[in-house]
Amino acid sequence: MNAETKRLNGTSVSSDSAASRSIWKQLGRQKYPQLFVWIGIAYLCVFHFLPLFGILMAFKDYSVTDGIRGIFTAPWVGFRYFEEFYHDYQFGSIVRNTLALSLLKLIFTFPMPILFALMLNEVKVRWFKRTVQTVSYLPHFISWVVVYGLVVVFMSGESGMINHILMSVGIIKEPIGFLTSPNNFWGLAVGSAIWKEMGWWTIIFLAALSGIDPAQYEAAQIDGAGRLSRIWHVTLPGIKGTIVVVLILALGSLLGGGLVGSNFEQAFLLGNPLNADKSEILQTYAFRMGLAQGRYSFATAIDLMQSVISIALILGSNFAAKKTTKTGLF
Amino acid sequence: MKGSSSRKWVTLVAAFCLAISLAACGSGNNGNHAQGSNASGSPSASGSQPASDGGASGGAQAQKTLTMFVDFPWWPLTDWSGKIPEEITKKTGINIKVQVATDANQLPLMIASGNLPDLVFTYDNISKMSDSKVSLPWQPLIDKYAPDFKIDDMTKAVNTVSDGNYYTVRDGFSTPEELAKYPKALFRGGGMALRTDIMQAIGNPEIKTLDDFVNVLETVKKKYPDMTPLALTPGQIDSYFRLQLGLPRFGFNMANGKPTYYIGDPRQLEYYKLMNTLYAKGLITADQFTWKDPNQSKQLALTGKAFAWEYTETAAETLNSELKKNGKDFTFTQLTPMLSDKAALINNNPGWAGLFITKDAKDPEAAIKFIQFMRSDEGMRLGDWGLEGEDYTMADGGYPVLKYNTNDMDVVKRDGEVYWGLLADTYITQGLARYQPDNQPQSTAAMEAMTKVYKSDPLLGTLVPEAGTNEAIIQSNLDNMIKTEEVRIFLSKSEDEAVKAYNAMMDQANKIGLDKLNAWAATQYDKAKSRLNSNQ
Repeated sequence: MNAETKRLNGTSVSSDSAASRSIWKQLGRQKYPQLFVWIGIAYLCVFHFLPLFGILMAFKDYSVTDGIRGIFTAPWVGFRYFEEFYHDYQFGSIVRNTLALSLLKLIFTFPMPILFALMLNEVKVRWFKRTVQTVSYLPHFISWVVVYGLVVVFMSGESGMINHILMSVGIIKEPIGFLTSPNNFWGLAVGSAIWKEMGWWTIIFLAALSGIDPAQYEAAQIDGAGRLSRIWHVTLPGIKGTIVVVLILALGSLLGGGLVGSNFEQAFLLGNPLNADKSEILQTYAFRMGLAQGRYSFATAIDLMQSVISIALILGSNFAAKKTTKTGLF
Repeated sequence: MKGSSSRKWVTLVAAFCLAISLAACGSGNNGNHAQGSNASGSPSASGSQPASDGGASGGAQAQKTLTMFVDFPWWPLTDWSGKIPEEITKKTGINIKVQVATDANQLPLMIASGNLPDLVFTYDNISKMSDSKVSLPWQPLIDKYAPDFKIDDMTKAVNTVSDGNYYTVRDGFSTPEELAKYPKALFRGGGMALRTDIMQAIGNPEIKTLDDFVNVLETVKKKYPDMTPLALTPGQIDSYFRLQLGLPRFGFNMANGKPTYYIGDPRQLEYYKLMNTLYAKGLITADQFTWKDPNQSKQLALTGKAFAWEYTETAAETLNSELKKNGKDFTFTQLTPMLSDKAALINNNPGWAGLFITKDAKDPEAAIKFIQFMRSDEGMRLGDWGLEGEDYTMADGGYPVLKYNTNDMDVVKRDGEVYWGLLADTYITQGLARYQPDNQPQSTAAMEAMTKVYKSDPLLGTLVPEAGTNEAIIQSNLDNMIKTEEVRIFLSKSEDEAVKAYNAMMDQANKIGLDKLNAWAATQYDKAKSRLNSNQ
């Protein structure tokens, strides 16, 4: 028995060491790709995991003069900053604006790249398809500050090009307050986000579309499926996995603007005292009332609230996706 | 084989570049790299090196080097070079390594990480720097190293914080008694420029009151319907009109004999009614309140689309110099007289920015002596005006006649005038340089008119709640609320609606805690008064 155990252990030791040798060998073979991986992991640790201890600030009376050590040594204040925000007279409108803007963006910006990719996929003239694709994703590279400048040029009340054209052809008599009316802010934000980011996200779906086996289309065609039937029964199921993954990611960052992001940039740049009723959101409030005034604890508390909601959304959507489509992130 | 080797090299180089870029990201947040040719990894590289010459300080002496962080990303002088800094170094034996902020968050990060240079010059972070954990109080340093450095009691009182120390003396402050001795030390404020040719075309109507002004704008609107009668500059929207109505723009002011946050002064309703009138008559547009860049309103004036441009005392001269460059055939004239008996330029500020000696300063003696020189008459004039004879001559009226244009940034960057003077000057030195009746007659006339109605109680300027306190939270909530609510008043459809909107704003202000803030201010004001009395 002992001999057997020894023999087995011996085998086990030798197989373990062989396995570990083979792992090191494998790592040695992959040393250059591994370099990239470890730099990526280091980046994640340094810039994403390590700063997490700063969350403590949300529950502490932290002053910047206490230094980094102050994050640990400052006195606890419990939920004081959360309560302060809750009792702010703008609390209701800020939360409403954040949720409404985020949901509207999800509803309108998520399907657009899919529709656009499906349409481009049906275009058979190669040069036209390429041109449209290039032109549509170029706005992605324009910063929001520049987009804001363009929006002002096109949509100002008195001097904006759009109002000028509409008035000169007699469609309207008074200029439309695209930038000044609170009622127009959400539409403006969603519209400009679609214009800027739709083309970029289309690339993801076009890549997924290229992975569909052409034989399926041929088979469907033989079965008598028309163009719309082929899209419905072949194309969409073919990119279902990609759609679900992108949707989960979009839900995870819903409060930041989802797929197209930029809730903060839009609210900060396109927002003004005239449309503040609809443009003040959690991030701009945290920036204005927290960071800009050096109230790091307060800003952390507001951002933490947002992060908790985002985590709940990503877990919930992943669970729902797995239940319904058997596809999920984890 | 060769291909595989070159692939390895490419991979290695790419990985190296990635690592370097990550490291750069990290160091970018560090906030501890000096700029320009004086770059140094040390936050406080106080050392000594042989002086190039003994200069006015006499004979060969060891030249000391202090590091200084300038907390203004827009600061144009990125190093201690040019004839003025060289002259200061010659006089003091102190060289400065300058680091200019890259963004507004850099100094708070430096404070948090405890990585501070010898000197810090800041406005936004005065309350954070006025802390014994961060800076050294001046008085003990003066007592120990510079007993002949005298600071008057009022200046000490307005800079003293709750722990009883003063950690800086803000620049650009002079006591009312001193100011009274220098009527040519001019004050700045809101200004209005009007199109000269259009004024002539409508018969140069007299503008002596605010009603006259509104009437002129209405006439322009009728005769030139495509023109914007009045363009308001973001950030300066209220400066001209509150000046004309004698109302404070921010902070605390006396109302009914008590320190009151500016919005709590019941006379503010007049300002809101006036703005509402301008909007209701179509003399200003709603779009103007969406502008974020001052150039948006300036461009309207420069392109001939606006009749009046509301900015500062330099409005007409600023526009005219650009119009001349652009070859335009029209000019602007500054509207200089005050348009109401109530006009008052209320400025309770106890100065602007302050120079701090940090607790990490390696040579506090050199630091306080440097400040002592910069605050001396000689140092202030050298920093603010330049070299006498070369850059300015003193006129009989006791003001400098400058031989260079202070707005010519090429000259200022080359020589280092104007900006280094701000480190520790007084208002009188700044204000006297503004009196330029020959070179800048319009702005000088506008400032002379404002200076005549100047009102100040510096103790009111000390009423700034400390960051994080309940009062600071109330004040920031009020400021945030006012920004949104006051635009509703401006854009109300009738005066009745404007009054209703004003009342709603005041109700909200009271809910936020305006009364509590005013009660705190009254207590603090009494304390500041008694502190001043005990100093005297």
